[in-house]
Amino acid sequence: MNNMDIERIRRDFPILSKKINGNNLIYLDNAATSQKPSTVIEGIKYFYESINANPIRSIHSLAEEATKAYNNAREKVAAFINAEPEEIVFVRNATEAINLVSFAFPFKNGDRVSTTYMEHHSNLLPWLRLKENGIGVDIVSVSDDYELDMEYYRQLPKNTRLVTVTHASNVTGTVNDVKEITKLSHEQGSLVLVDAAQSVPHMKFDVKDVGADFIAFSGHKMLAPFGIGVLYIKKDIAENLKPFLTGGEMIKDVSLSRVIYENAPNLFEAGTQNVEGAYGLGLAVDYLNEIGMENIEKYENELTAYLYEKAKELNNVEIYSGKSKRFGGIFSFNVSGLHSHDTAYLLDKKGIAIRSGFHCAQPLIEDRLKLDGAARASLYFYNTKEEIDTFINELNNISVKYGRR
Amino acid sequence: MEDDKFYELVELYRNPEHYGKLSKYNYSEAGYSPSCGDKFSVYLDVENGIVKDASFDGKGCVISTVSLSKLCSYIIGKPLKEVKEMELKDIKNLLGIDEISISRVKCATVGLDTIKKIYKEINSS
Repeated sequence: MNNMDIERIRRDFPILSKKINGNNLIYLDNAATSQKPSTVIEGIKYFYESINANPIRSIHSLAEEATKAYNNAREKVAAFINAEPEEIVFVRNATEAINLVSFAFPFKNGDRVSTTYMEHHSNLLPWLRLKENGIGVDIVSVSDDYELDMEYYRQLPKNTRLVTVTHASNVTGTVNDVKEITKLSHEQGSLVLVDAAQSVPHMKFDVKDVGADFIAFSGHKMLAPFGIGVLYIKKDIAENLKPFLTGGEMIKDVSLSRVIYENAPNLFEAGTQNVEGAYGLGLAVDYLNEIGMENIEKYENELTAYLYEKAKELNNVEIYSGKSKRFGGIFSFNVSGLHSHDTAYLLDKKGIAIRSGFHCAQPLIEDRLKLDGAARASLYFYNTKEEIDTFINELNNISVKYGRR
Repeated sequence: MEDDKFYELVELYRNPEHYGKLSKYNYSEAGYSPSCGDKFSVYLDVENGIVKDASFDGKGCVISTVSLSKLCSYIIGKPLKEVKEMELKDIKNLLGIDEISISRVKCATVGLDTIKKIYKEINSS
């Protein structure tokens, strides 16, 4: 296929040899969370056996090691997206990253923020909540080909302070032109937040090229443990933000009458952090770098094209993804007349793990696509053509037996 | 669940009994199962504590739809207070299945929970 040795890669992921209901696991729920390579799994064990202490504050040797490990993870993540280490704030996940911005951004009454119809709830609800504070919220529409209305970005409503948008949709697979959206928004004086949870794990992402001011993503979708995520805040922007959580390690000086806060990123990392998670994320980045993000993107694009080609054989299956100019390894569908949960149940009996339901994007699925849910297969670089063959074959069996003609 | 059993449930799901709003009812309540996106409304015609008629409408998966359909059949002609004591195992009995996975429990009980809400409402007023 190219220079990726998939058999070797698959051996790095112990869970991929697991049996589910008597069948080989075929894991096609990667947009929900990725599996983890041995380097990350063993690395977490190593962290607790050899490095564990509370970093930053304590000065003993072990704490020094923990601090080094934590800082090193920050440097690795920064280099991975071409950012500076002080631009990387560790959070729990993309959801927390976006919530942080919604609290820290210095909105004034009458300001506007925008998001889109294509969003995961994580980039929708934090903004809808701001309506209570007198902030206007605009929702950018999505075309029948699952493209955003670019006209909106060419003429932003007056007083728009922040434009937020997903880089890649977890339902339609659409990859939005966030570079163009950022350029247009900056020309009109608005800052930009990109939800990159579904893109950073799958393609080379360069913050300097995209140019956005805030970028949010989760570690667990890119081989790292749960509970560690990243908020990139462009230099010079951070000093205008308000603190989010307050407490330990985010201050320079405290008395009862006056608090002097730390600078970013520490300002936004109150309390003892998920150091093990950050360490694991650093190892995940090492793994991805070793394979190469360009190789990953190229291979996934080939797999995606193969999946959509094979899907043409299916009858009684409606497909909701893959219509946009550019899309990632997302395949959203329903067997006609069958609820997505029941489709997922039937595939699971064959060892095939997919997602079903609203995918935390209820306005898109219910209001825009007029569905009561959708099934979704989502790919990662350890998936194979053979797995896609099995998936399509089993899906065909289900659609023949249960699909309404 | 055996394939044949599931197939049987899918057949019931396609054309569920007691589907559609009753022409005469005195209680109704909405029920949700967020993971599936199930959304149902239940309609009950209750007289002197006895369920004269019951129906539902809305959308959901096989498990939630057939559970609710069977529950309507079961409760018609019985005292509404019977639902108070009912639990997951009773729904499994109605469906004729032994096992239900953790992620589908809410699907199986969304109908029962909705009728229980009506029962509580009647008794608190």
